[in-house]
Amino acid sequence: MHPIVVFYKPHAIIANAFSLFTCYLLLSWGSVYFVLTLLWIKLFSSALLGIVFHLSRRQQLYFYHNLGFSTARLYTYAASLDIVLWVGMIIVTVQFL
Amino acid sequence: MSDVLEFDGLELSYGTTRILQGVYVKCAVGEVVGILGRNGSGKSSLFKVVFGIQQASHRSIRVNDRPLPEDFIKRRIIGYLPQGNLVPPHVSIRKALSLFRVDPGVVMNYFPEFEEQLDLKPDELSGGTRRVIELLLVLKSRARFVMLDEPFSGVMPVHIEAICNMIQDAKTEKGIILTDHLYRNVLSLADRLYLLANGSTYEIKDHEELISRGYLS
Repeated sequence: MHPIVVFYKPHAIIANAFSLFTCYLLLSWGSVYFVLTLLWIKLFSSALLGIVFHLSRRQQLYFYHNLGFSTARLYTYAASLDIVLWVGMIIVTVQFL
Repeated sequence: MSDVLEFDGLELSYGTTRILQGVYVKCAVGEVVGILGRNGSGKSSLFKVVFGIQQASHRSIRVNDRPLPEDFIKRRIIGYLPQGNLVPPHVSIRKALSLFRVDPGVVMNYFPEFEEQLDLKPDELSGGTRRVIELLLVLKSRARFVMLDEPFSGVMPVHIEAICNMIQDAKTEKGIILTDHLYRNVLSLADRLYLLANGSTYEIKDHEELISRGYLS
């Protein structure tokens, strides 16, 4: 398993639960035009999750630094993975509109 | 010629309290460098500044007389065993070994009794066992230089002996800088010794100097 996936794993449940919630909102609102709004909501929630993690579990970053990932690279890659998963969920959701 | 890590010109303050101001440490591959110092003397802060996880107002870190590159973490030039836990609680020991590309057989060579514990999570291990495995991860990592902050912390005497052997084995291909309050172990391992006091390092040549500088009574 890639270190980024290992780093993302503890956040995966909350992050993906929120992604599913945005999919539910999209279904409720019933229009693809709300995707941009939902993207901003998703980005804001991901940033908030990252800040909470950084403030509460900063010590865990040393493990990943030893594996060659700086703090900036870790958060960038993890956020990218989160957004890719969200985009996948949104694409599937759009099929049901 | 072997690679050499040097750092000096480090300046670190907490508010008005100057923590580091006149540090010079040199470590070559093939060497164990010991850093001793009283509680609160700045040993852990020194390691954090060198590893780049604590900001200092000034720092000069060089490898072979060249400034440490910006992407030194990516290039895994320096490894770091922090004073606290290293392996995150959700990562099993076997997974951690795999991520560091350490063959579990290496653990078995030094500690055959750990075999049944490899599939456990760090929080399920005793503090000493966890420390030993975390130390092994850092010593077997790709980094050419490693900094070990209290590697003997919580480790039982029979394992301390094995740890000393691990460090001696690892120094054939790494430069190792370590600090610990078990100073006898540090003295027995160190090829070069520094005392960190009043924010500055002093190279120590003999035991008497540790007494005269107030580290031992």
